[in-house]
Amino acid sequence: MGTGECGTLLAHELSMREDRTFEFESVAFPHAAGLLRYALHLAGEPARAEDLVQETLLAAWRSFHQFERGTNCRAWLFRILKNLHICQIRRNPARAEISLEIDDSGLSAPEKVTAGHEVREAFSHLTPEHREVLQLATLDGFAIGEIAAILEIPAGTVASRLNRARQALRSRLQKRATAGEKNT
Amino acid sequence: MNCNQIHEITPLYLTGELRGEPLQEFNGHIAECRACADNVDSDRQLDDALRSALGDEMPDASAVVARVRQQMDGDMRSRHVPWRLSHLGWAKAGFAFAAALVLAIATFGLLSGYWHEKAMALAAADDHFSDLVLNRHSDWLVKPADMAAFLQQQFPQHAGLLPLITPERASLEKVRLCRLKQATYAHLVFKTGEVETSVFLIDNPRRSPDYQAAHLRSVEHDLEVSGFSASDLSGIVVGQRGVVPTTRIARQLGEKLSL
Repeated sequence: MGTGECGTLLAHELSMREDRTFEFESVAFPHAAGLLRYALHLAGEPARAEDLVQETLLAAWRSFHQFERGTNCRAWLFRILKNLHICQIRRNPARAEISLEIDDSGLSAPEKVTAGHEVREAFSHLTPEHREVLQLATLDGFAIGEIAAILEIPAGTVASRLNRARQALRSRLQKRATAGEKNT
Repeated sequence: MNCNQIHEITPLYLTGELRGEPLQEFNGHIAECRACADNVDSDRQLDDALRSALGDEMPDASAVVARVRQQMDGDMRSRHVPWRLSHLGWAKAGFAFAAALVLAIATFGLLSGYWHEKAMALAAADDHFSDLVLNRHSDWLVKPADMAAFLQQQFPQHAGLLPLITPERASLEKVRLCRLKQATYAHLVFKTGEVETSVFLIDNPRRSPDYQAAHLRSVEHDLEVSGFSASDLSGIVVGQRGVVPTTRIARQLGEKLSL
């Protein structure tokens, strides 16, 4: 093989790798913010959430040759993130309990009673399983089947969990509203 | 549809996944049933409230993306060498290899076996990561009867194999065939609680007693791998480092299969 031929092959390989990088960036990076939001709910701390997203995107990049074009990249990325989070919890079980209690000590009284704040607070008191399905369905816009694939549970379980999560959220909001009426 | 059925499929309705006849039935029911219509409205309002309270704040991921891009560039330059030996650094391995070339064909034979074990271990760890973290395969058998038939078909000379290859306090979750290098292995995934352990099993192609304890560690996936060899079966155990005691499991499986 001559040097010219070698050079052509090398240029071809570099070009293929650039194409692959471009494709990965096009299909994966638009989901980075959504992944980060999900990671924040799972991990709690921003620094850990960012590390989790970084690990997720790198794992996906290094396995991108296995990714089938046309399949659901977003659900695939969320699934990787979830799996990596589970791995981290197994390594360090102390991290499993993430408190999403809202620290409202810095808020003034009028801010505390806004509807948005009440919803956020009620949401933060749901169980992790309920928060997770509500976030994936309502905020991230995943279909039931996609959530089932991400969480590796049957679609029927996702639907019933969503029903229970909404019921729990509604009940907490109603209790707060009743308590508020009594106070006034 | 009755009210209970409507309640059960409301999540599908709200995500827009209900179509065709079920959607028509759903719409027909809530047009006539005030209680169900109120429940659906209530759920929808709750979702809207949640979206406006939490959904508008999309975090800024630009710093993470920049870091990922930087590491991708690094990968491209180094052609991505994600693994290293845990017992022996690359420099030492290179030195050992050079020394082996100088010393003798016998030493070369030993190294060749070593590199074969390492390559197989890395392939097994990659397959484990690819299957259990990246979810790349959908051809798993999960029903007990299917898994039993699979084991019978792959290892017909080993009746009652499953109890022998099941790690302590674990249960078989799923099985599939996979290719590691040029060999076809049975990939069995066992679960202990939430922890997954992969066991790759093959009719011993090398019949080599040296296939013991190839204990390697992945830098990035944080997995560890151990090998075992019995009289006519070889296996590779893969699990998360520090969580799954692969060396102990491999030793126990090797002992049980040799009895």
